[in-house]
Amino acid sequence: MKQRSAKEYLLISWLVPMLCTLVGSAVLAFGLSYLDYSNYRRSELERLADLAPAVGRRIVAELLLGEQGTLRPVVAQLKSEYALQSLEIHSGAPRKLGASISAQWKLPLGNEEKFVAMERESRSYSSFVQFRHFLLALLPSLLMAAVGFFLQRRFLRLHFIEPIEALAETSVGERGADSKWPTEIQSIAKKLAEAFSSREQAVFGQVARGIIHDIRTNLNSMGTATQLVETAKDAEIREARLEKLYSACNRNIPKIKSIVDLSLDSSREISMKAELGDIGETVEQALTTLSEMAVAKGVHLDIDLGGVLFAVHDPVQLERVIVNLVKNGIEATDDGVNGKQVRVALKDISSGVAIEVEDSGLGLADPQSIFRPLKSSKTHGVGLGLFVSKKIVEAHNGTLEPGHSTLLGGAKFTVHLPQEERR
Amino acid sequence: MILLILALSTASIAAVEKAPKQPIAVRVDFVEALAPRDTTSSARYQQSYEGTIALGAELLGKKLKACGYSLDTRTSFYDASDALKAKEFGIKSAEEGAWLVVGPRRSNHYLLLVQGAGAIPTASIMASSDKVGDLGTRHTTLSPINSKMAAIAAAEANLRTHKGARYVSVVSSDCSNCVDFAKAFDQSAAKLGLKKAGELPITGEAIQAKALRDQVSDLRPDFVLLPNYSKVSSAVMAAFNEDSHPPLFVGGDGWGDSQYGFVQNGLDVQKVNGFTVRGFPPVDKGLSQFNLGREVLRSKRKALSFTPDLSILKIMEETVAELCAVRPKDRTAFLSAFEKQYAKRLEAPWGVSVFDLKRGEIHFDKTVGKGK
Repeated sequence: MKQRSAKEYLLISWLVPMLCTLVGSAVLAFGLSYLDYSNYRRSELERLADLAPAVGRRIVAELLLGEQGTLRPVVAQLKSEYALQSLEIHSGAPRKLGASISAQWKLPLGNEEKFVAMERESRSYSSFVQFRHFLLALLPSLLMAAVGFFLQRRFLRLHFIEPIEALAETSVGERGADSKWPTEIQSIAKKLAEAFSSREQAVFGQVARGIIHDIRTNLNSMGTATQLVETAKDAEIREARLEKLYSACNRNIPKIKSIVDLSLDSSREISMKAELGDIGETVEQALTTLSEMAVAKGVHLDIDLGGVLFAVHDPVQLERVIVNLVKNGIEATDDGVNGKQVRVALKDISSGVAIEVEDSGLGLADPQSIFRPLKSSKTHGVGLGLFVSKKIVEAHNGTLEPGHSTLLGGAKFTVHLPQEERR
Repeated sequence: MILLILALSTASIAAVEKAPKQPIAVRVDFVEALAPRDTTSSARYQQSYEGTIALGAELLGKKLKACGYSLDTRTSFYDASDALKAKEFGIKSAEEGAWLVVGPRRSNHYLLLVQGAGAIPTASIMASSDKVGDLGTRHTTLSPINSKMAAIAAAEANLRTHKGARYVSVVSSDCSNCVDFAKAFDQSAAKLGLKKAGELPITGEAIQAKALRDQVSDLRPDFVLLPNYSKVSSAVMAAFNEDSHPPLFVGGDGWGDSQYGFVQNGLDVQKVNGFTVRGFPPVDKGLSQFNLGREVLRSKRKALSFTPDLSILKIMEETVAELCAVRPKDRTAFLSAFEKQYAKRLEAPWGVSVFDLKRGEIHFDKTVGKGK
């Protein structure tokens, strides 16, 4: 079904009564015409009935005079004078007259039964069906409809459209319900505000838990190493523990920084520094940082970078995406039953460049919800990785599509970067 | 005692004879039609009509009273488009005891009045159709009948054109009087050797004058007979006004005159010539021909302008003269007297008058004959 704006629906809601008005006006026009026609016929019949005695008396005068020679011209004159279609004098019983406007009158000739029958041509009903009747009925209706439309537009804008538009603000807690709004919209606004508040609290709690947990884990690691340095009495041992502390700091501080960056990126616009570069190089750079992790987990990384593909992209940001997707894939293989394998492929497709990351894990239970922030199937994740990855890819005017890997049986993510960005 | 009785009887007889006698009321009804469309002239006509009756009654009052009578005049007007009213008024007059009913100008109306009046004597102030002349001794008209006027018109046309002159009749077929006149004219014209080139009937007052003019011109007449009322006649004549040699036009007691009103409707008939016959002379000339008329002229009490006023006064004068001469006790006796002699005195007392049409005006020329 075609999607329409509220204004269009509003217009349609007026077009229907407008159409009804037109039809009603036409019916009314025919009604008015018929009324005119009926009045015309009635008045003409009355006029003819009033006329009949005068005409009859003139004929009687001629009959009494026995002026047969002048009766005919007198009849002709009467027909012309009173615009009669026919004028007949007949004996016996009254006649049944035709459908036209007619009158009959008994001539005052004593015992003699003579009648004068007059007929006048009637205008047909169609000659009364005039456009002016239609206009007469239509114009006031249209005027009323236009005034109604104007008032309704103002009314609906004030009491429906504007409150509905304001719901967006209430849904993010920027404003509350207005007592002037319809009660139903006030109720919806209240529910939205409550949902936002509860979601906000949940998000806050979840973010806090995830971030705190991850940061604490790293800090604990560094704290333990520091304690070990402090408790070492032997200089050689102390030197060896300082090395470990240094190593722990080098390993964990970037992680903490990464957690902080991810949290910040999820709530702000992605800062892009796009430039023409080799996509394969960017992918390779990302995989370098993950190769140790793959080896440690016993996951086989299958890399197929094809030829050299250049595209305008931000290498730092795109690397973050590849790292996130491959890391997720490596971690997913823990639950897989098809062995531990992650495949990364770079493809030159007609619409641009495709980077495919697929794994041998259990696959995606709900592909549509995986990009929602704070949604994570992992115990240690904050659920912002895929959300931020999608934002980065979209900042490249590309798409990030989840799917099922027919090759490895697990999940499959495809990054499409558009052709416009290629060189 | 006997002497006393004789004396008392003589005294009482003398007293009865000396007691003033109650005059016998003679009811005379006047019935007239008024044209509904021309309200101004109708109102003027009605005013003059009623004024003339009042004047006649006043001037004849003394004489009538001396004869033991009083006039009870009743006047009724009706719409001329409803001729049947004439009959209804005739019936009413007869039922209410009128001795005489003075009928309307128009012949067909008068004929209907006669039908309603039954045995009551009637007199029309102007009716002229031949049928009116055939009504018998109880009914009469003060106008010469059509056939006589037509004969005089034909003789006059013959006199004013040439031997064997050609003529065309343009006749309103819805005017019975006009049709009668045309027929009578044709008979008289034929006797005089005048040749009828054609007859063009017209109906109503809205005529196609120009088309009619072309039709008439095609027949190349020496004169055109127009025995119609002035409105139609003037419309026809106006169509010929720009012709270099328009034919002579002959009217038949319908054109009116300068006093009675030659209705032209603003049409120009300055360049056409003709003549018309009428049953009456100009009012002043007519008044000068009978006693009551002369008395009216002398008294200067009322300026009479309508021809019917002549007839009204003449009828009143003759009625009073008859009452005083015959002294009828009731209307039966009056009817008898009317039939024997009095009706005859009312028959066309002014003869047939000829009027000329010159430079758009109608003027009296001469009187040709008197009596029916």
